[in-house]
Amino acid sequence: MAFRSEGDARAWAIEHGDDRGATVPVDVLGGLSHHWYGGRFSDDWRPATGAARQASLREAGLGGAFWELG
Amino acid sequence: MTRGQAGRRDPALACGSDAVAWRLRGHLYRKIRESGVVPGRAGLRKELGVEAVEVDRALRFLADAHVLALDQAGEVWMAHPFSAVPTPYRVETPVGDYWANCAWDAIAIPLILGTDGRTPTVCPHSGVRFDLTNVGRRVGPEGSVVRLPVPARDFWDDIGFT
Repeated sequence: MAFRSEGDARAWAIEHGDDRGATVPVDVLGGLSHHWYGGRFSDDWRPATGAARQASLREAGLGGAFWELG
Repeated sequence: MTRGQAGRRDPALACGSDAVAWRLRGHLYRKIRESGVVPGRAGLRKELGVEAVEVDRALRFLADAHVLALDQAGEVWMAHPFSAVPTPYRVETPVGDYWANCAWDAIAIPLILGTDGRTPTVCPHSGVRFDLTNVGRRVGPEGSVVRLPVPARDFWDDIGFT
């Protein structure tokens, strides 16, 4: 879900008792998307390994337990 | 079978090679880019010139590799970031309109198409209508956020919910 502001997302999460999710600024998700989804139109595309996806998250500045792929 | 650090299989390492499946995948994404529509199994069979059973097996292979998600009938439901079915996220671009699976995917679609885009949406808390925007490589509007409902390790546990 997209929220107009971090405050809106925080208020919504409290109202709905959602303590499992996380919010990400849209520009950060945009940066991540280049790595996460890039190359899909190439015949040579293959899924990235878990290690490569974890590195993409880290490069986008997304760290901590929520972003651990396990 | 290769397993991840927490005992989870890494689909990327386990998917191996399957010429028909990877050919199908490339074809599928080209068709989506050209038409905005995710092809069904019947169309894939005709366009690729392979038997129905081979299409079904290839789709299952790709789903097991977390490349696609299938519906209960075995049709492609999600070819990330594209959705085969209407969702609250209709991405409008100069090269076509596309259904996205979620807000994140709505941001991603113009980026991977290399085009600008806008996705009308409504803030679930304030009720304010606004557009997610892609202008060049910039994503907006500034200050807006996306809420992801589950931790990254659980994205594929219930991909529809995610």
